[in-house]
Order: sequence, then structure tokens, then C-alpha cells
Amino acid sequence: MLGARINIENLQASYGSVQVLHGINLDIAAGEFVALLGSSGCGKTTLLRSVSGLFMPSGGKIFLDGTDITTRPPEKRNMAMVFQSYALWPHMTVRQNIGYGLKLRGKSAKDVNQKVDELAAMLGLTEFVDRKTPQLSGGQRQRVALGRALAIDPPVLLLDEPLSNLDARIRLSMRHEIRMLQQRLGITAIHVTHDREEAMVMADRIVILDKGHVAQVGAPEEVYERPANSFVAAFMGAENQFRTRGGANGEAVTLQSDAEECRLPKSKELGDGGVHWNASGNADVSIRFRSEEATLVPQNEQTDGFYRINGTIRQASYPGGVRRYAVQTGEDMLIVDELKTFSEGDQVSICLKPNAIHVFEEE
Amino acid sequence: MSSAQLSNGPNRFASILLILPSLAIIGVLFIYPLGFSVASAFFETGQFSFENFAKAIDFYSRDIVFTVVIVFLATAIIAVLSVCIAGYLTLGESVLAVAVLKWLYRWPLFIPFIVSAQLMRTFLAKNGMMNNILIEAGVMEPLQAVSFLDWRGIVITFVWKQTPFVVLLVAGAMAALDRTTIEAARNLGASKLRILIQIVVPQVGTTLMVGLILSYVTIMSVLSVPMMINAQTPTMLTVDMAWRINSYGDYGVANALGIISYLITGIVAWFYLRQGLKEGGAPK
Repeated sequence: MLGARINIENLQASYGSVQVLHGINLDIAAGEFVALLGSSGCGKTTLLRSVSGLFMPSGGKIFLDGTDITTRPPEKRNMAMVFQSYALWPHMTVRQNIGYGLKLRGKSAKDVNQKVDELAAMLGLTEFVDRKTPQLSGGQRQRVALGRALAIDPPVLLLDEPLSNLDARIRLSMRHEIRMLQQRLGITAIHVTHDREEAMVMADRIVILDKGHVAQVGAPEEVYERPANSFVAAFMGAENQFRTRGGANGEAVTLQSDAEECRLPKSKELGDGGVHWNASGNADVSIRFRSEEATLVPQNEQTDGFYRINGTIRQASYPGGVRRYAVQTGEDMLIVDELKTFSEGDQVSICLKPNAIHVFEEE
Repeated sequence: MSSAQLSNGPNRFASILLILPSLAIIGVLFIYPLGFSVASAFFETGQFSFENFAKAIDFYSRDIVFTVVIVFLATAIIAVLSVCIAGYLTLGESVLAVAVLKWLYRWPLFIPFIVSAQLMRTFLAKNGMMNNILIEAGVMEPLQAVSFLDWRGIVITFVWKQTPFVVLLVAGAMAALDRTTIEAARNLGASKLRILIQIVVPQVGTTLMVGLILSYVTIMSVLSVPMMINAQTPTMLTVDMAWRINSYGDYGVANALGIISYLITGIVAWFYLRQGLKEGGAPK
């Protein structure tokens, strides 16, 4: 396998007096595809730039296959980076851009041309190799940037939001192309993105960053189904938050619902259909759930096996496929996607199946 | 306003009226004196002749060559130095060194040519400051000291005076580059020098060329520096022109030398205009 192992130990970084990374620990296996996911300013690009050597961390260590490379200059790390702006050299042709890293490594003109032709064919750039890069479209430029990075057969590929400047349709196909290339070549990849779906479909593991801390590390399914805290749950789409009281024992979860208590099975492992309980014993808790995992019924309709939250529909809209309702419950406004049609002012119950419920300690 | 509207009678008249003041200033202060000096170079006592040019070449051919060599040499050195300084300002990692260099390099911009020349006279003379420092430092013996007040002095003064101007333009263009194009090259393993030569300079090539051309034309027009630094032959054409006029009242030969100067600058002016047209006409 071509990829290299990366270990990050207690990495800290700051811009002037503002600390942006607060002791990051992360182990990335050789050949693994890891996505750094977080909102703007969470430190994900700083972490990637620290790994590449383009940013000097203020503390901690980075190891590449066991060797400390924390202070090694970027030109000696043998990692290839794809930039958000592509960073292609406008005075060079596609061939010269892709072949530059090979030229630096003293390869003969014949070898360089052969490798460039191979990559150009693989990336669908064959007819553009003699064009200057400003004459290419966004998608083509992105491919050139990827080709330039892959040309040197890097053990580690660093991707800094490489898809964010592409239009939606090309972005979807490029996700799969990059992932397939990475798997075919067996290289280690670190991909920075703020797009949850992009991270989910591309990565083996997702690292969610929150204000310079690692909030959770796990496989896509794990962070989606088992968010470690309220922030991760919200970032993974469970934006609805409802505060109540609740408790749990070994088997079951009890959640307060209006005047009565609702008893539901507690999840022990992924996919068993129970409530994801992530709080201590009896306490004020906050329930998080995804708008598409809830259903609405009129308040007078009976249901069984659901946790119900009563409220009034304040707004109805149609985003396509389903109807979207804003439901007022006490002080909270919750969003629910539902196939059935309701009107503004209707008294409804939001019904949640146990496996749609994530319970966290009230902050 | 579209071109169709411009060609309408009253509008066209109004637009000509609008540019008339500036046209008149160019005509009176530039075209007329230029035409007059060109004419007086070719007309000797009312007759068309090349006599002034024959005389100019006969007397001053060495000075013509000297002038061309000085301006090309000075411009070449300015090119190298300005790329080095602007490159360091862009790629240098020592914050302190970059700040000091940024503060220092502009000084000569604010010193007039005549003051620079006077300054260099005291610095480059046989018993000037440069030789004194070298002797004091034990680098050379007092007997080895030579004066630099010849062609070398002229080149040094022009380089000292004009490099900051070109650095100002080039460093500005380098600072405006997309930094990630530099980072991408570092990431692939390029050294700083390679990045400067292969990535940065090609992207600011146009600005560098414009700065050098403007510098070249300035150097061609300076009288004080060759007059004060190099009071011997061969010397530069500006000195010869001043000499023809002040000592002999010989405007004919002075104008012929002027036209030769025009031709020498005309070559680079042509490049400059061509570049301007290319940029203006390039698709945005």
C-alpha cells in the first residue's frame, strides 16, 4: 500500500493571541480517507495546513509513518495538496502544471510526458493538455489541480475544500471520482469540508471539529446515528431541540411528554432501533431529532410506540417532495417534514420513533 | 455613449470641444517643440541635409555606444536587484528582515538625481567613503584604492536611484498574486529560488517590464548624473547635447543627438505601447 500513517498529538495552533486549535489528537491509518468536518472558523483548514507544513503549529507534534515532521518545511514532506482556489499557475499549460512536481524530482522529459498523458487520460483532460489554465472551466481546473497533486504519487493527499467552487452537478460526480481514485491508488487522504453529505459519502472516518476541539471521530454511520454531543447531533442534521425531563436504566428510557411519562427502549448498539441516550440518570435533558425522521398526526389521533410532542403549526411550506412545517411547542420552534397536508394553526403531535431520538444532558 | 451617438453632428462637435483643451496643451507643449527640434535637426540654413547627423556621429559615435551600454547595463542590474528585493519581500520568512528591508529600500525614491550624484561623488571617489571603509576594515591597502567616478559610478548611481522605483511596482504586483500559487509550488517541493524564478516572476513579468522600460527612459533623460560623476569622455548623450548648446549654441547637432536619443528610447517605447495594446485588447 502506498499511503502513509499520520499521527497528530496534542496539536495547538494560534493566530496571534487567538488560539484556533486546542490540543488535537488524531491517528490516521495508511490508505484511510478522513474528512475534517466543521463550520467556518472551527480550525479544520488550519489543521490541514499544519499537516502540510504551510502553517507552523504553536505546540504538539505531527508524525508521518512514525517520523516527527512537525518542523519539517512543506517542500520536504512529500504530501500533495489540492487547494480550494485550485492554485494553478496561469502562465503554464495543463501539461506544465501537472508535470511540475515530476520535473522538480528530476524526472526526464519523456517520463514526465508519459505520466502527464496517463493522468490526463484518467482525468479526462487529454484534449486540454496544451491549453493554459485560465482557458479551462471550473471542473477542468479542479481536475488539473488533482492531476498535479497525484502526479508525484504522494503517500498523503490533502484536499482543502476542493469541491466548494464547483457547481452542484459536477460536485456530486467529483466526490465519487476522487473517492474512487483514492481507493484505487491506496493513498492516505485528508479532506476538509463543511458539507456534511460530502464528508459522509467520501470518507472512511469523519472528524468533527468544534471551536478547535475534536468533537467526535467515527465512521459516517457512527457519527450520524451516535452523535457524541448536542453540537455533533445538530451538525449531523438533528437541528430540532426539545427540552424536557428524562431518565434511563439498563433497558429503557423514560421521557416526560406533556403530563405523562413515555417509556421507550434504550439503544445498546447501532441499528437496534432504541433511543440514543447520552445523558446521566434522571435530569433535565434535551432531545434532538431530524426533521425528516419525525411525523405529524392530529393531537386527537392515537398512536403507539412513539414519543409525542404537542404543538401548533405556525408555518407551512413546500420545499419539494414533502411539506415542511414549523411547529410551536412551548418556547421552542421545531421543524418537521411530512407528506400529509396540514394548515397553519392546526393542533398536532410530533411523533418520534425511538431510533429517531437522541438525548443529551441539558447544557 | 455609443459610437453611433458619437458620430452624430452636434454630439461629435461637443466631444471634440471637450478634449480641445488637453489637445491644445499637448500640441503647444509637446508636439510643436518636438516637431521644431526634429525639423532643425534636418534643416541646416534652410536646406534639408544630414549634415548635423554626420557631425553628431563623427564627433559622438563613442558616446552613443557608451550611452546605450550604460542604459542597458543599468537596466539589467536594476532588473536583477528589483526581482531579488521584491522576491525577498514576498517570500522572506523573517518578519524583522522583511520589515527593515521594506523601510529601507524606498529611501532613494525621495532623493533627486542631482543630490544622488553628489552623494555618490563623496562615496565613490578615490579617497571617498567606500574606499575609506574598505581600507579601515583591512580589506585593501590605501595604494589599491581607485576612483569609481567613471562609467561604473554612473551605473551605480542609476541603479541606486531607479531600483526602488521598479521594486515598488514589482513588489506590489507580487503581493497581489494569489498566495496559494506559491504555496502549491512549495507543497510540491520547490525551493524558494525556484518559486521566485518559475512561479512568481513569470506572473509579474508585465509589471517588471513596464517598470524597467520607464526606468530606462528616465535614465536616458538624466543630465546631472553623467555630468557630475563622469567629467571625461566618453560620456552620455545628455552631456553632449548640453555642451553643444551651452558652449557653441549649436542647436542643429544637439537636435540630431536628441533624435538619436529618441530612437534609442523609441525601441523600448514600442515594446511598452505594444504591451499596453495587448493588455487593453485582451479579453477580460
